[in-house]
Amino acid sequence: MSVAISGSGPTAAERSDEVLARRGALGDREAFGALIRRHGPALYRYGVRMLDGQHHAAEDALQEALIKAWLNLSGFRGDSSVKTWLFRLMANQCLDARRRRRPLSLEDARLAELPTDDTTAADALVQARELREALDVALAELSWRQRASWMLRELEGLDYTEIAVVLDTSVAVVRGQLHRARANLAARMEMWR
Amino acid sequence: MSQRDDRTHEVEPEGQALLRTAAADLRSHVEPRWVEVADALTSRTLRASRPSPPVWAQAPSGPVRVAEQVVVTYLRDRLNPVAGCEVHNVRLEVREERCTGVVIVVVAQFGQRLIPLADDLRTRAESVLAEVLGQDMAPVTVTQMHVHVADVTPGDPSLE
Repeated sequence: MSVAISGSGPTAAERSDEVLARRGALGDREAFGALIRRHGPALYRYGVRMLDGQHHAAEDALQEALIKAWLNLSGFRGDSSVKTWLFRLMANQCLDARRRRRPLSLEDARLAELPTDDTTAADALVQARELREALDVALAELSWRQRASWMLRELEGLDYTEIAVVLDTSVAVVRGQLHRARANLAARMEMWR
Repeated sequence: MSQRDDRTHEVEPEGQALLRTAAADLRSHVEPRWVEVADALTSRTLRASRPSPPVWAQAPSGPVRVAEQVVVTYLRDRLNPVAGCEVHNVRLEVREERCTGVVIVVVAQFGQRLIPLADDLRTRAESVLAEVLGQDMAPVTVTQMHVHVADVTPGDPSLE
């Protein structure tokens, strides 16, 4: 008996993360490229903020994380989601990058970026950007784990268990870090207002 | 909105409201720099080659060694278009750098007739192996080739 062959099949972008990872593990570069396009922006955003706005350091960390993912895809067993696994690789690279460099104190220049009370921007877009910048400054003041937990929960939508996997810690620790992060950020944003 | 949500809203400090707004904005924000570096990061990643042990093949000019990954890639490309299944894994059994067997693991769509599917995959795989490793190599026949159905999906296994 002959089995039908699919015609022009679905594009890589239509496939689930799991299918793309499976194909990537078998050497399908197009499939892994689609995974990068899907999760790259969020991984990069995470890296930039975990490395205090240093874009070049974030690029290097992401490059290393992606190469590790590509080389080790056949070892990915699906114990966590593909997204969680990629974030774990990225979080580890960011941590390594941070350990390699001298600790940075928050520069006065960055604090000066905070809009002051006399900001009367009528333009909603400008206001949104300023608000985002204020959040970036506030995030930079958080501890590593608080910042990572908050970003993974509030920006990337990971649940507590997934965050614990990414950060190699317990759910209880994640819960505590998130609670403190939210309180600290809200207080900082209140000052911005 | 529930009563609990209303109460939360009433006592919520403005800092939390601002935080929520800023987080929503950041969530949809794509770093402009990402657009500039994405292609370079992707191509550098995909240029990294995975270490792969060699297997002997028979070329017209004589025996040559090819990477296992090459054989796996040919098998994947030839088997994945078969409707109703998706290749999950391909493992070559190699002894003294000679391919002695293949295990093909697939995910099949619910309702697929598995035995004819496995037979078809086996025939196709045999033809790929002859093509890539050469006709003169020790044949990998049905008895050394296993097709294992690892999972069954309700929908198209190439999508989900």
